[in-house]
Amino acid sequence: MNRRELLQKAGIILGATVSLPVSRAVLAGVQAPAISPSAGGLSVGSLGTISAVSARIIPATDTPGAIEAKVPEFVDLIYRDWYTPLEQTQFITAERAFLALSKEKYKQDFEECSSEQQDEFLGLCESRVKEETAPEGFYFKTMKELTVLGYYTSEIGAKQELSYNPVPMRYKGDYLFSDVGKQWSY
Amino acid sequence: MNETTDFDAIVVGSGITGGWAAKELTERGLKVLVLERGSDIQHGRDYQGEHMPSWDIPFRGKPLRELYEEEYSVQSRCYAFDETNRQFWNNDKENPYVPTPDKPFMWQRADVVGGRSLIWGRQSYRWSEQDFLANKQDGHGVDWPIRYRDLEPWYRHVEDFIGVSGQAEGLSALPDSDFLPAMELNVVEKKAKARIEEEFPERTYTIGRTAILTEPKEGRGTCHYCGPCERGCSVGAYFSSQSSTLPAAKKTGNLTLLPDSVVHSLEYSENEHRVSGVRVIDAHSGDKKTYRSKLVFLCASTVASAQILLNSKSAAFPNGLANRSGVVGHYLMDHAMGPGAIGVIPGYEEYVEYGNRPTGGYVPRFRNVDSQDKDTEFLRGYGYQVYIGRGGWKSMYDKTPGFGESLKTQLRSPGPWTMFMLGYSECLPQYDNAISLDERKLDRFGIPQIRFDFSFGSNEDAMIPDMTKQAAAMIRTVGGVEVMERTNRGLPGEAIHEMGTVRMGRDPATSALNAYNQTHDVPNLFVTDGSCMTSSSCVNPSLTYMAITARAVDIAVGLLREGKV
Repeated sequence: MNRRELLQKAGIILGATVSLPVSRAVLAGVQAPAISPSAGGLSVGSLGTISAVSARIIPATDTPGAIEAKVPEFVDLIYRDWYTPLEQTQFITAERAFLALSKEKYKQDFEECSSEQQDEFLGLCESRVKEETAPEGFYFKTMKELTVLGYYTSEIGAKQELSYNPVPMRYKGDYLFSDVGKQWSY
Repeated sequence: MNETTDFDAIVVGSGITGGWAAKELTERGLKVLVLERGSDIQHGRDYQGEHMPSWDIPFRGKPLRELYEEEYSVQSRCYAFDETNRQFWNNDKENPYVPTPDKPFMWQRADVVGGRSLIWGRQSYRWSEQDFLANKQDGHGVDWPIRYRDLEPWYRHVEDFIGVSGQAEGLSALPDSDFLPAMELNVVEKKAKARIEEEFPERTYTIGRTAILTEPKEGRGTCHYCGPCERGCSVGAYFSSQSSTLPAAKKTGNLTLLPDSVVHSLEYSENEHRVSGVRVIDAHSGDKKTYRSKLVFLCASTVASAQILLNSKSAAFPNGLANRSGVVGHYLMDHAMGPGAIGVIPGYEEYVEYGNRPTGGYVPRFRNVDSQDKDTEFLRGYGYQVYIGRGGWKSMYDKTPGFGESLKTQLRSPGPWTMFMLGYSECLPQYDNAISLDERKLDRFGIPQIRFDFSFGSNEDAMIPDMTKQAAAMIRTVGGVEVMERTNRGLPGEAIHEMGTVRMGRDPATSALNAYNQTHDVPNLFVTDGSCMTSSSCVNPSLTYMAITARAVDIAVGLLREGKV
């Protein structure tokens, strides 16, 4: 998926009030406003970043990916309503470091990079997850956690990626996995 | 104060034992008032979290940390607590007890009609002959005034009504119930059963005995294997007061159930030598009323029933009603839960489970059975709740490196089969393990708050190494690898099997209740919840509470008809 498709899908999922300014602004190449961690939800720029990152962590394949499952919306919700102010600051600080490092390495913004470059960079960040002095590692770990949680608990994740069977009606202790092919959503 | 005198019997509490007392009393023709401090929960209608899909659960199940810390600091520690059923649980800010940070006791409780019957773990085991003899044999605690044979018909009576699914095994340490068909063991559990019983002939692996229907029963449907029972079960496969005992009581036309009715204390008449009234505060308006009846059954829970007695002081009973012995509040017990082991069982990857079975496996007590083992340095014993299943995406993703298509592909298949054994050990009764009332700290109803003073003893500690070692050995026998022993134990209270604060006994000087659950001191007052327990066994106690309650009602109504109470 290229950046334009990604942003269009992000526009669909982020809801009319947020999506239009977000996608228009970014598509038009308008400079993202300065990030203000205390001001409610994530900024336009951050929404673009988390959309790009989550789309590489859980891409659309033979099933829909993180964007279709509204993972960026979920990350925004967690940031706005679940994180403490300290956690919000840590998230934004880590994101800045992540973006700065990617720009230094590829001479362009993370969102502008090719999928191959994005994957290469995310792999680098993952290799630093355990380094306390590497905020890009923390950012990767956080985004992987939130993306996986948001994706597999979404309706798309539960019903299309996994097997959804809320009222099984019976129990079998030796069911063949090949008869279902995907793990259960619970 | 308003006064009403319309009832033959008052039951305090609508949980597992209150529901049973209400059913048995009303079915014998008595007009019964059930007083419940919590708010009403209607079967089905108020199970808002039942079958709630993951995408509708607030924050997809992430805990509401600020709210929980502020208002549910105790309850939110329980595995069964989350946003799908928070309305069932006690609000710890509104209804606190005195914190004792150096000696914590986690009092986990509901605050609704049905009480903990709505959120209990459903495990249902008979006590053994040996359990009732243990105190007499080793001298810890007073002798039980009843034996297994006294309860056996009442176990059957209860099981026939609630429905307990399980497998008969013919063990002296764990008598069989009158079972509904057992749920099936999964493919790895079958192997575990075969290997454990082959390697350790004195041990048994059996399906957990659970109060969940595998056949329909009187207006209740069979289990549909959806999984999270504690969110509410509108088909009523799950035994709760709502699904079972309260409807039976209601059907008689003899039941009055009052939610939001907090019992402050019991009124004692010195002239009549009996409880003359139950003092109640309306939880919303604060209005006070006294209800009168011929019989009073305390079924408020181990801790709350003792609290009511201790708060019922009079010239005749300056230390609390029915407490001439001084034992009320003392000899608090809870199972010591936690020690065991975990390991991975390689293979069987072509199989998964279909449906969510609402019970695990169980390894009944095999230590010190019938006589003291030569190689144990502790008295009595322990059993294991066992889980054998495959991990899902939640437990896999942080152990699965990478991202992108490879992560998706890996999370599409379940993780390896895992075997987890969680030990529950018997807790000896100790005088110093007690609750008391703090007269300087009143709750919003003016009732003194409870203070816990509890710690596990040396016998419970002495079992830990054996519980971990034997669990690890059994997991290895099944072929387990990466086996890890777990020595950590839950905090006191976290087994949610607290019992013993108003114990039964033969001697009025050392016990509060006689063999009929009647207080030695006050003939028309009966206590039949977990507080009556004289020892703790190592098995889950609710089935025994129910049998004791049904038996006590039968005796109490007989005494009432003979004019003896």
